[in-house]
Amino acid sequence: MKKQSIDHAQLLVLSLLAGEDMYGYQIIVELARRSDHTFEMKEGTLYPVLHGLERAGAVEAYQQEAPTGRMRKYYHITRKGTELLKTEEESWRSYSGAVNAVLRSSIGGLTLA
Amino acid sequence: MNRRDYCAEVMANLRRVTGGERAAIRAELEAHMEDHMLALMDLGYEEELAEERMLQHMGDPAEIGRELDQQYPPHWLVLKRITIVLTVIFILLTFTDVAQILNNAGDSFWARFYPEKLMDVHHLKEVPEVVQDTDIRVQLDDVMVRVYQVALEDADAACRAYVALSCWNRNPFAEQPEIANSYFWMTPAPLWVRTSSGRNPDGGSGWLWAFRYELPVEYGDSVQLTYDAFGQTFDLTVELPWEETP
Repeated sequence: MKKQSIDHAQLLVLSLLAGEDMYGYQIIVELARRSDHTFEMKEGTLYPVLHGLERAGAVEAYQQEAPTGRMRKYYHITRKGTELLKTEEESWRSYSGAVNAVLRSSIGGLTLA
Repeated sequence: MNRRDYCAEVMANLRRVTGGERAAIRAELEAHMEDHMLALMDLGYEEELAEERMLQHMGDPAEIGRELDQQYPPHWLVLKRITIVLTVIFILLTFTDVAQILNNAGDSFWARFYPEKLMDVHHLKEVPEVVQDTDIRVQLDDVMVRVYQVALEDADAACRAYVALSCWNRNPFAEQPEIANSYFWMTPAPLWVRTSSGRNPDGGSGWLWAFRYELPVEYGDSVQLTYDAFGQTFDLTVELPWEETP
């Protein structure tokens, strides 16, 4: 199977949806809360991310009525999305591990100096 | 800028989406903005201030519209445009005179510039020995009649002669004039074709705008074309390409 790479915003969104189905505003709030407000994206930019994932088959959407009576569009991660997330998580851990290793060695060097 | 303006600007940048997708995107954005505003109002914000704060967090609507648009493949748009064009063509051809007008224009073009040459006609009774291009014209109001070729099966004896004429209207989109047609050599018609020795055509082929007459001729005959209809007349003598000595 051809490897599909995703950007960081897509990785974060898939990661949130792996826990539960969410609608757009809920994703924004959860992302800010879980990252301690480190990831506060411009809210409108979430939708190109979500629609791109939907087109790629990584998520699927369904409608559900909100308490206000308005229909909300919920996103659900698909099996393909879960596999993609797993692959990207591993890549990310490997990448961040490598960066940490370099940083640790540099900090050690600085301390020694 | 308010919510409505924001949505309108996002929508203005969507080119590839279908009507249904456009409506869904608008509904989703509106729901998001309403959710955010309600959350702020729960914190004590007035509606106007809540809307202002919410919009500050939404980002550039034009850029978001463009990015959203890129998520949709362009083939829907292409398919939509092709469908519209085909529908318009179908309606024009079915419910209007466009097909007839185009047909008239085509006939007019061929009649003026490329009437079928006698040597290209495969069903003449005999193969002509001598073919001569001519440009004999008669104007009847908006209609031009042109004898464009004559031919003889044998240039120095009694034989068969061929006269080719075309006619067209000055207005290329008008219906082709009914001066010649495939039955005029058989039935009484406005255009009479006969030889100077008094013989009538015994064959012919073609269509309204270009017709070839076949006539039995005596050596030295010419061909007379006489038109008399709708208050208009002409009388034309067409010389045949005889050789000097029989």
